[in-house]
Amino acid sequence: MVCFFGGCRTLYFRHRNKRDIGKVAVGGRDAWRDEKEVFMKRKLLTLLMGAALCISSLAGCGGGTRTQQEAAGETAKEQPQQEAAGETDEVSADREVTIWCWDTGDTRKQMHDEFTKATGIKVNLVAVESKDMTQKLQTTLASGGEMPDIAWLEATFRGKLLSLDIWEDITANPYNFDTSQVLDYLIPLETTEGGQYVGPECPSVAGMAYKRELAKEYLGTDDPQELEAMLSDWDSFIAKGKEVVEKSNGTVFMLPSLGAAGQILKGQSTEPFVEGDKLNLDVSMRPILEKLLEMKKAGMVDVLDFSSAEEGASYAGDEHIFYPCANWSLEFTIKSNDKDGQGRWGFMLPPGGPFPWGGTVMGVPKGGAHKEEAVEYIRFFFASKEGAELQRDYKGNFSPYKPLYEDASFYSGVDDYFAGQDVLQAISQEVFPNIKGVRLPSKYDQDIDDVYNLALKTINASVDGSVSVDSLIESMTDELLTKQPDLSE
Amino acid sequence: MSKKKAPYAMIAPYFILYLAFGLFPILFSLGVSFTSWDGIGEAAFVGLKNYKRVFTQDKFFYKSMLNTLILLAISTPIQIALGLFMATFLKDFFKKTRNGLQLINFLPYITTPVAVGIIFQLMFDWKSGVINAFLNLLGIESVYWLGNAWASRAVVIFMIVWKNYGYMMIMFLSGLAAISDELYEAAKIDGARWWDSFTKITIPLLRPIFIFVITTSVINGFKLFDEPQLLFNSVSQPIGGPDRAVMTVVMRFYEASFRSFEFGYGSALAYCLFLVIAAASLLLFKLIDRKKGE
Repeated sequence: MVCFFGGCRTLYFRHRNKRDIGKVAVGGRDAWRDEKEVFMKRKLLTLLMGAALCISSLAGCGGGTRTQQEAAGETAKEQPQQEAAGETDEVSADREVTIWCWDTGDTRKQMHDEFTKATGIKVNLVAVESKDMTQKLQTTLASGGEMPDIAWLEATFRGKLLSLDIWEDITANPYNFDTSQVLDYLIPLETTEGGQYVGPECPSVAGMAYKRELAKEYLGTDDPQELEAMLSDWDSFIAKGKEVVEKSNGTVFMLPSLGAAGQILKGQSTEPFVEGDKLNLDVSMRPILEKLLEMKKAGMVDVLDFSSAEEGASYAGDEHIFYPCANWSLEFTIKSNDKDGQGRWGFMLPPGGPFPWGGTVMGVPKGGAHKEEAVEYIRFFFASKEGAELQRDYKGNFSPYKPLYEDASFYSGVDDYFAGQDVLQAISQEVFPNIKGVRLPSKYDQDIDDVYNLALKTINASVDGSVSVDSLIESMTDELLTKQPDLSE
Repeated sequence: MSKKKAPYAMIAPYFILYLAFGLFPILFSLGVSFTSWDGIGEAAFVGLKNYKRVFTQDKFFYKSMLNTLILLAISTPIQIALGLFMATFLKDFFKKTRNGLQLINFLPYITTPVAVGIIFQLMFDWKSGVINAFLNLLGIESVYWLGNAWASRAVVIFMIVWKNYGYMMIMFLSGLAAISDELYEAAKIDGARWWDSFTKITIPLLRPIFIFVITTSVINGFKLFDEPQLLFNSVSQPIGGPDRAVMTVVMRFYEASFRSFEFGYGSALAYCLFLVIAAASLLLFKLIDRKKGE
C-alpha cells in the first residue's frame, strides 16, 4: 500500500514535469534549475514519506513480536524498562496462569476475580473443548507453541492424556503439593502409570435423581429413604420396573436410555477392562451387558440415545422416572433441562450404591511458563477451605480437600428443585463415604467407550433384547484387537 | 527489478505457499507413514510395517472401503440424475421463476455441514424425529434410522444427495447454456418430442459436463467424511454408526490419527486412500477414453 501511494506521487510529478517544459523554456536556465530543485525536493519528500510509512509499518510488526515475547515471559531484559515507565500492573502481569478449559463462563471468571484479589495472580481462560484437548496439546508441542500453565483433563480422555509424558509431578520439588489432604479414592485417578501425581480434581460422584410425582404414582412413595430400601439392588429395580411398565401400559419407563443405566453400572464396577495388555472384558463388561439386556427385555428402559438432545428434553417430560445424577448434574443437567421443575425432583442412592462419574484433573504441563503460579492456583482451589468455599458458592463444585468433610454443614443447603431436600449434604455425607472404589484410567479408555457404545446401539436396535452377551463380547474383543494390535485376549 | 525477474516475483507467492502448505506436508506425511509416532515423542522408523498392517490386519480398512464404495455407488448416480433433471426442467419449464428455484436448490450445498448434521440427527430421531412422525401418520411403525446399519446408510445417502444435487444442477445448467436453441427448434420441426430432444441432443452434448461431475463425484465420494461424522458425533455414538455401517476410509484415517494418535499409521492409511483414488480416477479416464474411441 505504501509503495502504491509513493508510485502515484512519482507519476504525478513526472506528468507535471512534461506539462511544464514550455514554461521552463520561456523562463530560461535559472527558472529551469529552480523548477528542477523544487521537483527534486518533492521527490525526496515523497521518498521520505514512503520510507516513513514503511518503517512505521515494520515498527507495528515489531511491536506485535514484542508483545508475544512478553506474554511468553521470555523478555527478562524488557521488564525493568516497563517498571521504569511506571506501569502499575507489572506484578499481576508477571504472576498469571493460563488455563485451557471448556468452562469460560461468567461465574468462573467471577470466582477467579476473588482468587486474583487474594493472591495477585491473574487467570487467563482459553476455551478448548474436552475432546479436543489431547489434539491441541500435541499440536502445540509439535509446533513449539505456547503451552498452558494448567490443562483440564476430562475423565473420558484422561487415560490417554495421562499416558503422555508431558506433565509435572506436582508433589515433587519445587511444588511439594501435599496429597495427604486429598480424598483417598481420587489419588489413583490422578496418578500416571509411572507413579507421577499430575494434579487434583473436584470429586465427581453420583447417585440417582427421580421425578417425585411419577415415583409416587408408580412406586407408591416419593421418600428417598423408602425408595432406597425398595430399590436396594438391581434385581429389585428390574422387578419394580416390570411393574411400572405393566401399570403404565408401557408409557412410563424407569430410565430414559440404556446408556443411563450403563453409566451407573459401569461406575459401580471397579474391574479393569484391560489388565496390562490383556483384555478383561469377560470379567468386567459381561455383568454390565447382562443387566442391560435384562432391562431391555423387561421393556423398562426407553430407547433414547444417552446424552442426546432428546434425552435432555425428557427431563421436563413425564415418561421417565429415574436419571443418574452426579453432583454437577444438579446445575448442568436437571435445572438447565427442566426450567420449571421446582419441587419435582428427589435424590437418592441408586441400586448397588453411589458411583464416581466424571471428574476433571488439573494437569500442569512441563512446558508451561508459570508452573509455580499454576500450583499455587491448584493449592488455593483444591487444598484450602477458602478456595473450596469459592468453588462451592460460584460453581456448586465439591472439593477434594479431606478436612472439609468432617463438618457436615460445609456442604448443605435446601434445594427448591428437590422439594427442600438437602442434596449437597446427601452427596457429602452419604455418597462420598459409600464410594466403593474406582476403575483406574487406561490409555485404551476411548476405544473401550467406543466399542461399548456400539454394543449399546446393538442392544437398543434388537427386538426385545434378542442378542446374546457372548456375541457382543466377541464383537467388542475383535474390534479392540483390530484397533490396538498390542492388546491380546 | 529487471523485466526478466518480475514475472518470477509475481508467481513466487503461489509457489512459496504451495511448497509450505502443499508439497511439504505431502512429503512430510509420506516420511511419517514409515514411522511409529504419537506426535510427542521421537518418531521410530518402522519401514513398511504400517502399510503391512493396513492390508493384512486392519479389518476396518476393508470395511470402511466397502462402506465408502456402497455410499458412493448409490449416491453418485442419484445426485447426478437429480441435478440433470432439475437443470433441464428449470431451463425448459420454469423460465420465469428459474433464478429463484435455482437458488433454493443450491442452498443445501452452501449450508454449514455442522448445522446439516444436527438437523438430520433431529429429523431422523427414533422417538421424536419428524420422519418417524410422518411414517406414523401413514400407519407405518417408527424406524430406528440411526440404530440400524442399512437405515443409517440410507440417511447418509439422503444427506449427500440433498446437499450435492444443487451443485450438479448448476454444472448442468452451465452446460445447457452452451447448447444452441437452434438444435432444439430443428428437432421440434422434425417432430421430436421433449424426451427425444433430451436423450438425443441434451445428453450427448453434455458429455464434457458428465465427465467432470462423475470424476469429481468419485474423488469426493472417496473423501467422504463430514456427513457420517456429523450424524454420529455425539458422546454416546459409536464412530461410524451402528455396525460401523457408515465408517468411511477418511473416518478411519481420522480415528487412527486424531483419536488414537497413531500419526504414522494414519499417514499410511492416507497414502493407501491416495492410491485407491488414483487407481479409480485412472480407471474412470480409461473407460471414458474407450467410449470416446467407440
